[in-house]
Amino acid sequence: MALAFIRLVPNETSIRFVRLRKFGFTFSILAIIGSIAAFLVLGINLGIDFKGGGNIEVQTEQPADLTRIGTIVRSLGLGEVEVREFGSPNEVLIRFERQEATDPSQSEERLQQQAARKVHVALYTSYSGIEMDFDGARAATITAPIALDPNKGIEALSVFGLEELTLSQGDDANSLKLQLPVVVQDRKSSPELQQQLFDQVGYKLLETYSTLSSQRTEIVGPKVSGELVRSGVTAVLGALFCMSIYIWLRFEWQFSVGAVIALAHDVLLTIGMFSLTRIEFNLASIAAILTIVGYSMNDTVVVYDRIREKMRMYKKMPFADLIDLAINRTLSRTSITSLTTLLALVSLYFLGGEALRGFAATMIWGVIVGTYSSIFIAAPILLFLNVNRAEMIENENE
Amino acid sequence: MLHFSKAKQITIWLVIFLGLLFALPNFLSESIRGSEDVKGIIPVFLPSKTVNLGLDLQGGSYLLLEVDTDSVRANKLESTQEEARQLLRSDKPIIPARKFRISGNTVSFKLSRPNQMELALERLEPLNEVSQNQLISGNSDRPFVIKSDPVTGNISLSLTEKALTKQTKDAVARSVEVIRNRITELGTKDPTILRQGDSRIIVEVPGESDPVRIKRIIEKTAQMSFHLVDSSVSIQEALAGRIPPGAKLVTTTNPAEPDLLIRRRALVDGSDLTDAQQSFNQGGQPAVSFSFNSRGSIRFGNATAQNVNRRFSILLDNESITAPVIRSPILGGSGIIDGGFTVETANDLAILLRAGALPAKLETINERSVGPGLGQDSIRAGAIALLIGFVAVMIYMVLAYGLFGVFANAALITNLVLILGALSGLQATLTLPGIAGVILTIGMAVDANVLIFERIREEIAVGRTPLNAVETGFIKARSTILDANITTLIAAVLLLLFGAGPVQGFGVTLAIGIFTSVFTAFLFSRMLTAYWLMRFKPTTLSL
Repeated sequence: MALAFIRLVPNETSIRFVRLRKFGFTFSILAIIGSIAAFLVLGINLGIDFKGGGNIEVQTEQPADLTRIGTIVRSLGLGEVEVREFGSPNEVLIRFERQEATDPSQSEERLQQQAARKVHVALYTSYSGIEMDFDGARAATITAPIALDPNKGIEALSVFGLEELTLSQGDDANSLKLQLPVVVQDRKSSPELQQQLFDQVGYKLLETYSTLSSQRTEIVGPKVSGELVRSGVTAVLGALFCMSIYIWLRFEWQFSVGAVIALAHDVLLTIGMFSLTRIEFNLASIAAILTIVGYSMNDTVVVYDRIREKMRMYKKMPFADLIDLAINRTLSRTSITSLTTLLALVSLYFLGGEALRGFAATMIWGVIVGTYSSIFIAAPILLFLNVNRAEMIENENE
Repeated sequence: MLHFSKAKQITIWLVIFLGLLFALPNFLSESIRGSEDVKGIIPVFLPSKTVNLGLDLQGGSYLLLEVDTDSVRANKLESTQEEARQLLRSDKPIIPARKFRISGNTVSFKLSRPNQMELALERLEPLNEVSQNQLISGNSDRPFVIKSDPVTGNISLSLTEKALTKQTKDAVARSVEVIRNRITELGTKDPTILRQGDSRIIVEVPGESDPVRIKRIIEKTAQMSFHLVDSSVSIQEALAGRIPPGAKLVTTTNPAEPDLLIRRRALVDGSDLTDAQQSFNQGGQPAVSFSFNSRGSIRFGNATAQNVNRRFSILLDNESITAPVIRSPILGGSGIIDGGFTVETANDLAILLRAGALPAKLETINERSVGPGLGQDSIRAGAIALLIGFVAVMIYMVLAYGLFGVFANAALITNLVLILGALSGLQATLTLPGIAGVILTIGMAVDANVLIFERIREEIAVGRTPLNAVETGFIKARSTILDANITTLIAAVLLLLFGAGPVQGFGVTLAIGIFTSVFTAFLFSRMLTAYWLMRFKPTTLSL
């Protein structure tokens, strides 16, 4: 029975990869220079994880009006603000940059939190249409262009657990009457305390009657963002180092150098991709880069393993031919694994939701680059690294 | 390679069975798992834990708090200065000293009579004692470096960096307890309060998507202490700047007496409190009653006995709530605070006191909150992406390898079950990036099988018999599979070590996925292949 199975590449290929090395190297060097240039000129679109600031994801009942939200948020004086659709027309991501302290006594961490609060208040106010008139003591009138159901508000206010806090229908269906208890903090009652309580209660009401709701809020202060940058860089460099040690122990130092050059190539090209595509660079991107490093190394090791095996089998074969043979023999495997991984990633990209899209895109790029680099960089570069064949075979036999 | 002893086969099936068992609770709804009927049928020893969802998937708030080292330092130095002052006067002859000041890490002062230096240093010794705990742990570093100049009479006590770190650590450890108590009082479900590093605390409250509420209750320090009122100078003089040594001005909550001069040294502080309850005073007004532990009772008893007819002040967060006159010694170790409370404010104060005081100021340096709806959407999207990716890979494997593709797919399904089982069993947290990790693992997991099958093809091509080709294929692929997976594991471990929050979840699933895919591809699918070869003894292999 001869079934025709799908073959991505024919069974017996004999492509002279090593001969193509000049093209490969030239292409890669140009791409690396391009990546570095893009990084230096354009920079990368750092997310709040590394820059500080806030992300607020909101959802509206109707498809969101980005211009309206943008105008509201920009009027708050928070510096650079990004407003964009996030996943579906009803969902919007608002990103504000790190709020810098104007004098050293201010806590920057707190400034970020206050900025997020301001955004929420402004959006809720606009999307509930509510106006509040507070007498500064115990009573407030709440009016809106549409009918307000007091029960909704009463339920929301129950979290305060205050008996004397009451909400009732006002003069018409569009208004509510709010009655606050007197706050006695210890022996004092003061207009400030009343205002504070009103702010909290008012916020809850705005949130309740707003047709826009907050889905996710992330605030990163400058302290944390600095650390995240450091730990991210440490993780990537640490991974490169540990892997190179492992390869050195399992093979010879030349292989370790070759692999690390290929990995550095992948990391640099990925950074170039971030720079050109403007995909947000966040914590998940670090995870993606590390996974790319792991994946590319995986590919490289498979080829290296085969080179070592062929070195023992064909002691006299020229090294270049040997490398070619090893790459050709593993080509089928390399392409199939890349394909299955890409199948999973493409599914993730299209179906996994907006939050994972950047990650999926990065990984797709990484799988392609990683596969390319193990064939065109990691293996041919061994030619230049003076692999001592006699010694390797000897070590193997021990 | 194709021979599996009975013991091996049983072990492999057992691992898969266990994985299935641990994965199973995830497919039962909450109501089924919780219902009493089922509890009767399913034995209790069976696993019942589901995958632990991260906050980004189930909704809730995450706060990263940092203890303010400056406030820890300031507290320590201030108390040291007071203690030094007390120690110098603790016995006869009293050693007069002046020019007390705190700068940087140092408390310094000057003896009025430099010839008392030796005696002074002896008196100050208790300040620099090494605690019992430290001695047990083999650490005999002293908290202060003491410098003295016998000519001028200057003495300085410098807090060492090590001691400061220790103070901060202690403050963090106590804060964790206090926050846990306070959050528990809030009545939220399964909060996580963890220490991170030397000065950080992670607070995760599932289901509470308004971090402001949590912050409000956390950030109150609620430091309570009892101080004597200083009446050696009038309040007008004190306000004019003539504050006697060892005294300080505080504001009060009493409009009739807005400022009060008190002794800095506390008679007793909140750490000796054992309970606080909202109650009513004799006039029927809301009040807070409290009781001390034995140490606090004795101290408070002694202090009140020695100071009858003087006033003492109860300080809460550096504000005097009340300053009654001591009519008679308060000996029972309990008392009542009445400061014009309402029932609510008295109750709040009682909660804060019960939960204890935060030893230092905390600052929120990172916060994330996710509404409950978003997490549901993410899980749904992730599950769909997983399913589609999974099916696509399986179809492709069958198209590429035929029957062997089916073996690989059996391994892939088993792999998914094992990942789910491991996540549930280990109670690792599944985050949104974690879901991405699972999907990625599915794509990469077939690699081991691909390596093996490609090898088998090569072996067939050189003319080996089916049995022999399969055997050799597995052997030759083995070291490659190990090398390839160990390098990926290195990446996963570094993610676990250095990743923050949700990214760690990615590292977890990636690492688990590596183990399960090596197991399923290298052991399970090999065993299936062996069964098939033994049963059908094919003369040719279609691969």
